[in-house]
Amino acid sequence: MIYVPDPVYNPDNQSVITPRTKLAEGISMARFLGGYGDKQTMTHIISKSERLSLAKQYYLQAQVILTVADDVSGEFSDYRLTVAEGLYRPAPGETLDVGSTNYMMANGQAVVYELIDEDGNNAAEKTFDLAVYLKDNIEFEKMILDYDSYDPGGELNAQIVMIMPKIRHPWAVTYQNKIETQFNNYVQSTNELVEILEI
Amino acid sequence: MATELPQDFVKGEEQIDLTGVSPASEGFSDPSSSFPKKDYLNTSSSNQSARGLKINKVYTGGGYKNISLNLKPVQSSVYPYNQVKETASGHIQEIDDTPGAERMLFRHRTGSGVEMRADGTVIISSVGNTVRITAKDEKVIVDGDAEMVYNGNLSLQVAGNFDVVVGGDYNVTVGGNKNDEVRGSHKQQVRKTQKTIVTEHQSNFVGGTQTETILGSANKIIKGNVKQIVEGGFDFYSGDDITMTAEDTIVMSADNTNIAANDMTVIGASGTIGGDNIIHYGKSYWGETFHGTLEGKADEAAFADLASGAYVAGGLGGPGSANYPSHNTTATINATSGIMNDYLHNSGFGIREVSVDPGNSLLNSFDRTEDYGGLSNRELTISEVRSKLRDINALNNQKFVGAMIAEGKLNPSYNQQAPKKIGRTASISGTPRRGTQPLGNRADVTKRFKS
Repeated sequence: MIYVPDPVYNPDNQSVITPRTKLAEGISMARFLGGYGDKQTMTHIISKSERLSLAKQYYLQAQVILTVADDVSGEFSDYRLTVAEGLYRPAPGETLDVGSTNYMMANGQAVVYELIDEDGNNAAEKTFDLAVYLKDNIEFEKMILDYDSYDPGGELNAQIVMIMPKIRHPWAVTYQNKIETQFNNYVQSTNELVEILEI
Repeated sequence: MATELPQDFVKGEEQIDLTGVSPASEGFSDPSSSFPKKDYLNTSSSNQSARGLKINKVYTGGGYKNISLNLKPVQSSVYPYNQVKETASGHIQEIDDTPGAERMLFRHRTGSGVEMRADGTVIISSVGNTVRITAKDEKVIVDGDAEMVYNGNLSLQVAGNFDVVVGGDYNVTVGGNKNDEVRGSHKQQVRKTQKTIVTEHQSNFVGGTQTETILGSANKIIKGNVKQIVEGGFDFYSGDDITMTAEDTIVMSADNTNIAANDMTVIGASGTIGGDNIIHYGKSYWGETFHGTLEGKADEAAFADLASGAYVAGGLGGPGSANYPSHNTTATINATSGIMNDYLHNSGFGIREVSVDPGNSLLNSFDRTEDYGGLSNRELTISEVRSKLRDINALNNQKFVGAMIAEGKLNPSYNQQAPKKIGRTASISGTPRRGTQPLGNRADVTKRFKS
């Protein structure tokens, strides 16, 4: 399908793409560069076309944030949807597995979101609700409900990896709407979201 | 008959036919047909918040990673302590005197507003933009701690001076580049020590003169090469000794070279000293063979003086006496191969063996590339470790994983393949949800992406 972006925020209409480039009201490119999990800049992306491509991918991601903000039920009003990992820049010499999440985070297709409660903690239980909400309210290429036990403190961590389709010029997209649940990078289910309660 | 009101005022509200019930124009019923709302049909018209059935709050949107809002739970109101005013579109004003839960709320229908909670906490919230303008002065005093998070960009423009006074430490972490442009002078005064670590390269450009004054000692330890290129003069003075050794070769060449000393030793096991037009001065020369012309009298030539009385033919004259020229026979040490080897490798004047950071242990202490299996040159946070591990190559990088576990940034159970307990599931098809359907009083929202 051909996606029709808001002309005000359409990156095609911007003369330059910088961290200040607005992708939606109140959402700039910086939102996807300053993920607390891996802060990056755009300085290594010199090509104008690459920057534009990145901005267009993040335009789709901005709609994810807006979709949650627009939730009228108030279900998530006490939680903050944060970008945990946005643009990924591999270390010199680091080879990324093609098609991996980090590979797609390097080109803007994927963004990792985390839901934070009022106490600043990972809201694992609510993250499942958010994944269900997103599944029903937005289209994507693939959404991964991602749990892990990496935290040295032994706490369960829940995040949502949202992968948007690669935009074909100018705005052609094909949504697959695949969903998956992972635990420590191991797939627990496909085409189904599974809530993990205990590790 | 209902009075005609602006269209948007009644938009989306349920219409209740009050025709013939009471004259709305005289205040006996709601002329807008907005009330009662669907939640109040066949129930008390007292606001649900006043009766403790519902708690209204301003939008908070949660905290931030590891930043708590420190909000205490809000208790329900007890009738009749809470005075609630809720308008047709959803604006709410509450003044709650419920004992132990005294609270004030002034909320826009969108969730923006001001809330004063029982413990005195004031929440100022905006779901849209916030604009604050102060025409004159403004003072901000926070007696406790403050935390600020900007998920977008932040610009700070100060027309006058910008003074920052920090009683404790001043820590700045920059993910990208840091650019300082100082159009005037820059002065930095460090009362104790200063340490700079540059993992990659450092360049300094000085258009004028650079003066570095060190009142203590200076040590420069360089693992690689040093090249000093000076177009002008190069003065090198020492108030004490200068020691210069090389494990390989020292090359010194100039159009005009002067080496002078009160006590000089120039020795070598082999090589050449002198040249076509070199004039040697000295008292004593020790050697095996001289080639060329010598002026003066050699010892053997002195014996010719013995023939000085034999000039009269026919008779033996008396012998002359050998007339030796005076010369110095003081000897120093001949620089044989054995002596030179001892001098160069065992004496205090010998060649220094240089080894800087063998095994790169010092380098690896701040450039972690080697320790982290090439995945990062700096220490990582737990969140960054999680980010790296999304890639299978990183997950299989035992050096990286081992280092992270050793540093306490990764749980040793990182490879656990399945959780102990699971809960709800949701299939890919639409999920029925109760109480979240957009009916009644709601902002107009369209689903995104749905074609």
